[in-house]
Amino acid sequence: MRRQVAIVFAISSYDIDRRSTGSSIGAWESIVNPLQIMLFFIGMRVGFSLLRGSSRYAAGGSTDMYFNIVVFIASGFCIAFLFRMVAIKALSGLKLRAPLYYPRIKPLDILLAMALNDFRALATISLGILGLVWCFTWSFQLDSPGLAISVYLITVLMALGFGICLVFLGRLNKWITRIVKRILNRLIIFTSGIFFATFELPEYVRPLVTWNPVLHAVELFRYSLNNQYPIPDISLVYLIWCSLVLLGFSLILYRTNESLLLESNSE
Amino acid sequence: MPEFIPTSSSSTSQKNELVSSNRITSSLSFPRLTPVWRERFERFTKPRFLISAFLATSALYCFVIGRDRYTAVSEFVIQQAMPLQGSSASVLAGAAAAPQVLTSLVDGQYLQVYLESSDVKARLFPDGKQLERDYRIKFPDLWTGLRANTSLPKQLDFYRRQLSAAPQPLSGSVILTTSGFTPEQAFNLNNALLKQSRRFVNEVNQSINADQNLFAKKEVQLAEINLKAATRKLELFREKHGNLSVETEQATTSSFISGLESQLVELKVEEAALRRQYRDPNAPEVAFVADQVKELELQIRQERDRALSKDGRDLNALVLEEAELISDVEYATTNLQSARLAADNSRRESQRQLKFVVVLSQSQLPVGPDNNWRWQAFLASIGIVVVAWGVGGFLLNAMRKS
Repeated sequence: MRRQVAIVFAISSYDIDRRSTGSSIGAWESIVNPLQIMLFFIGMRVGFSLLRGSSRYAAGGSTDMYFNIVVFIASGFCIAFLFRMVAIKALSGLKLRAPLYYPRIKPLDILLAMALNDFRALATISLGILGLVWCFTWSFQLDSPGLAISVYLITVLMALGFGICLVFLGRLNKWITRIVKRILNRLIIFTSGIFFATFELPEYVRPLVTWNPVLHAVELFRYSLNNQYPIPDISLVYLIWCSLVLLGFSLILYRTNESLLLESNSE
Repeated sequence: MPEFIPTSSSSTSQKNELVSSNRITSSLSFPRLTPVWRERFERFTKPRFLISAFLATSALYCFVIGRDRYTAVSEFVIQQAMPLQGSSASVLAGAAAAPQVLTSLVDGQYLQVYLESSDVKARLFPDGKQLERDYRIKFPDLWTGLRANTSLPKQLDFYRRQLSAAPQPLSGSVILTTSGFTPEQAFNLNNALLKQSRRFVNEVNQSINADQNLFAKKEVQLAEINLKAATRKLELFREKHGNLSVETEQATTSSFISGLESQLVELKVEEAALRRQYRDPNAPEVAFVADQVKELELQIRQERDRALSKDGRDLNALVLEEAELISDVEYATTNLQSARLAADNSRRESQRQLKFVVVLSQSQLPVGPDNNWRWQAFLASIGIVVVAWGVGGFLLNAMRKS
């Protein structure tokens, strides 16, 4: 077990090295790209807020009653994009473009290493942005730190489970892969609550988005920052069940079909 | 058995880590320490040991040393007796046409600030020493509680941490959560805060309504005084000029002069007829009628002069003056009617807009300690380790490689 953990860390380090050598900004590239997207999202959300006007007391209230807009987007982004990055990478195939076919390196190790790097990069961005906002506004609020870390780790597990399932899907056909990737991208961006809060949606629209467990993770993470943030139709139990089911199913799938991935990896 | 061969970079990093850890331990070790102690000391300074010690300490505090905390929760809503019809929405705000839920939400937000204010703290705990005694630190948990001789801001900060009032934007209700080191503390604080909420809503609401009513009554009194003054002026005017109404007087004079003029016309016609009958224009019959005509013309001129000239009764000016006074009286009467109507409306509205704190869920005496804080704190310490490892490792790695 300890050896396998060391292998995951070694692959993680190798992946960072590989990416840093191919980029002019070195190892910082893994945070610059997500940071660009996050800043773009923040700009979009702020723009929409300005267009909509200050409807603080619109039906059901507004998110700015509970969060700074930057904290709101960053909290959604760090959860939803962690899931997205792991899923998309898994869908693209677990290849590191290097002679890494050692008997001890399993495809799962590669996925874990890449997830680890993504987790580290997104956690760094989120912590940096939250720290900056807290410094500027001088108001620190983290009502349920235990819930926050639990939700984050559950999301990592769910992303891993989902990623393993997608690894197998990605082997079917490149067109299917492309279509799934696009659908996945849009679904995650538009239904994971990066831009909106569930309580802002009318009651009859909520079922269209609450099926998505990532939305539950995002909303619970926000709730952990501010316990007054309302989370109708959001459940921690649903999130835990989704994570366990996905992870369990994916591990069974991986256990029974590992050889397929090994062949794929050796191509 | 071939082991995993790390890449050149990973081997370099491992070497670097070894070198750096050796450097740290060598810098921390003392030359006088024996090799056994040095070895033990080096073992203690390893990150794995430090992390384990941190987590063990956290677990020890959270699950063994930490004092029990009890939580009492109640839920209430600030409700109006009748639905709004576009009038004042909030107890304090003047927003119009807001739905009932938002009204309650806005009131809940005001209430949230009020309950956390030093004013309420001073009402509930007038004696700071008593607060310190109630929430004093107890062995073995030397971290939680209120120390002796704490400053007022620290006491207020501590008091604020014992309660949480959360307005719910979807239902408009307010969830009031209080905590304490004993079940009674949490329960009593919750009940006391509910009383304060009722007091806040009733006091503010009723004082606003009372102010509105008082204002309306004052307006009625003012209008009555104005009406009385205008009526008195008119009466004085009429008394001064010895008539009931100048306008009637003017009409009477006009009809009197008109009567004289019609009589004059008849006499002139008769005179003309007589002049045709008699050749002598100075015949007694003609002269008699001509004298009558002259007298009548003189009489009419005198009557007109008396009615209109400044030396006479000057009825035209008097009519204008009287009309002004009458319009003043009419205006004051209308004003009084409006003021009475407004006062009546204000009284009715103030009763209609009375707000009440409706308790949806009364707090219960907690039967067991709330362990949520223990898990939150322990998981937070795990989170600190995970985030420090994730973020710190990433930053160190990135800095080293760049």
